[in-house]
Amino acid sequence: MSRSRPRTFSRLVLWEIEGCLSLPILSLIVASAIIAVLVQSSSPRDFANSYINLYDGTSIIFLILALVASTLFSHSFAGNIGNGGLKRMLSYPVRRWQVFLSKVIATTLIVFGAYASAFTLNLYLSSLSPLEPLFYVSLFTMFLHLLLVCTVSIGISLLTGSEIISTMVSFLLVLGLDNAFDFRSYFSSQGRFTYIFGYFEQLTHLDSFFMLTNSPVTVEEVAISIAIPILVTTVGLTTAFIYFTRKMEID
Amino acid sequence: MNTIIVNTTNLVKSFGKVVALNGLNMQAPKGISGFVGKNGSGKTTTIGILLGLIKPNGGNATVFGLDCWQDSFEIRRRLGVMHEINAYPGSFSGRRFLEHVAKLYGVSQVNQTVDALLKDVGLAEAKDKPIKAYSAGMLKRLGLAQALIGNPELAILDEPTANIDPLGRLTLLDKIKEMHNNHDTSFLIATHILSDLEKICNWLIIIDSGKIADQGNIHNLTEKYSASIYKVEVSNPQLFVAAVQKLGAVDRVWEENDKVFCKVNNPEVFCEQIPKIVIELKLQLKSFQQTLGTLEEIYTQTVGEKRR
Ligand SMILES: Nc1ncnc2c1ncn2[C@@H]1O[C@H](COP(=O)(O)OP(=O)(O)OP(=O)(O)O)[C@@H](O)[C@H]1O
Ligand SMILES: [Mg+2]
Repeated sequence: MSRSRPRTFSRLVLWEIEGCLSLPILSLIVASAIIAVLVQSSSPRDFANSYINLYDGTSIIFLILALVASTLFSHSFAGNIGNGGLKRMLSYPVRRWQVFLSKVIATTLIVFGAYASAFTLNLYLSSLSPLEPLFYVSLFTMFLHLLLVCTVSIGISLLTGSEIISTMVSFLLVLGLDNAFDFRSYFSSQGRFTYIFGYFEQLTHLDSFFMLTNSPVTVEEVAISIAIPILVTTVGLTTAFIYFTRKMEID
Repeated sequence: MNTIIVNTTNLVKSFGKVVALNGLNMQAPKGISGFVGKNGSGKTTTIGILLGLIKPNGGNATVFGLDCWQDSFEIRRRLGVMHEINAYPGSFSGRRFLEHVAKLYGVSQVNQTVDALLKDVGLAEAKDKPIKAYSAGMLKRLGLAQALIGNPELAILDEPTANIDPLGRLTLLDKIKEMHNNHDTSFLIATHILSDLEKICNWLIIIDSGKIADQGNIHNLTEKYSASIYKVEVSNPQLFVAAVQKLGAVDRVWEENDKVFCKVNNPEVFCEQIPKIVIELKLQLKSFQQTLGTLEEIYTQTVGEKRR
């Protein structure tokens, strides 16, 4: 039997994406993303400051994003452990790191893709220029938030192996943190967003009148806001990765 | 033809307090091996260890001479697996799914390979249906197809014929035999359907409570177990059993459906003694025969022992 060299990793990513795209919940995800964007209060502002709309109402986007992401990541990990799909997959000639990363990448791409495209509606709704820097700052923060949810869901998935528990717990955890801490805390997603948004607003819009924080945002504040999700993600995902590739038993 | 491809020594695995494998010494040579044992005896756990999915607590397991945990990837490139639980992506068509798997194995002519396989396992008509619309038997067929992709050196099948209709079963067994004859594929088949094994196996592994109860070439096993078992039908089995138990030539006596089975260590003495007992006890002897060697009998004698 002649064999060609399999490009396993890219195949696995494509396979995961194809699997995700054919999920019945996908249309729900896209719909939820669009609704999340539309729901936000786009109170009329004067044209020059309409970028503020990007800030208003993001809390609902973060919330729905957390729900959708924890559902999809838990489905991809815990769901696969529970139904035996992972066992089957790991019996093929694939390496464990390939399976782990392909799931992370595929799911992240899908969720972020859906939310980022829906979020671009904002450009139109608030008549913003596609070059508006705060639009990309918002997208970036959304991505950080997604990574955080991803880490939590994967961690709980591997620990419990139960899709429903993992979905609920990781969503409630994120929701709880956001509720317990207000928009001036590093521990809530809205808080970190406020610092990041505020900081870049000062940089890019000199006539800035947006002052959620009582004083101008400092470099330290924005650095911490960015560092927290990145740190949690790095430590969390690395731990999960090592556990998955070296220790985990699949039965 | 006697190369050992699967070998475990003193394999131990426990899940919390449950000891699933308790010093398993299992060998399977090239060829078609049956792997039988009661529910919960440790078959699926053993297979998990062979595939590097489960890490043993102690002992050693190799496939093709490679360590099952360290060299798992190398091993998996050379074998195909069908698990006990079917978990195939429901939204894919059978064909699309097999194409994916074929690419993972680096099969060169994906389309032809997949089409031929689908035909062989009898899924040609359902190949474009989504997998979630498959019946239980069709899922088993799909499972066999994905295990045979890329002509593996060894295919491990966990319960391959459960849920398949009688004719379909024969076809699948033929397919297994054909793969073995044409491609030299070896098989390790865990099953409860002994009559299936009887048709194709040349090696039998019997596991009981995480240990090997017996294993070996099927002809040797048949001889070993059938030669020493006698089936006796008499008018009063209880009385007969009591008397036979005292004979030195008999290892074990048990009664099943009014028939008495005797495991004998000295057939000559045994055959001499039986008529005497019958006359002494004034019994009526209805039949007296050496049992024919079927897998079921081997199985009953090895695994059934503790029940009696
Ligand atoms: N993940 C697990 N956690 C706890 N116990 C387990 C686990 N997997 C298997 N066991 C136990 O290990 C023992 C062996 O199970 P295994 O599945 O290997 O049996 P089996 O021979 O495949 O049985 P069957 O014929 O029913 O498929 C059983 O007692 C089972 O309860
Ligand atoms: Mg089993």
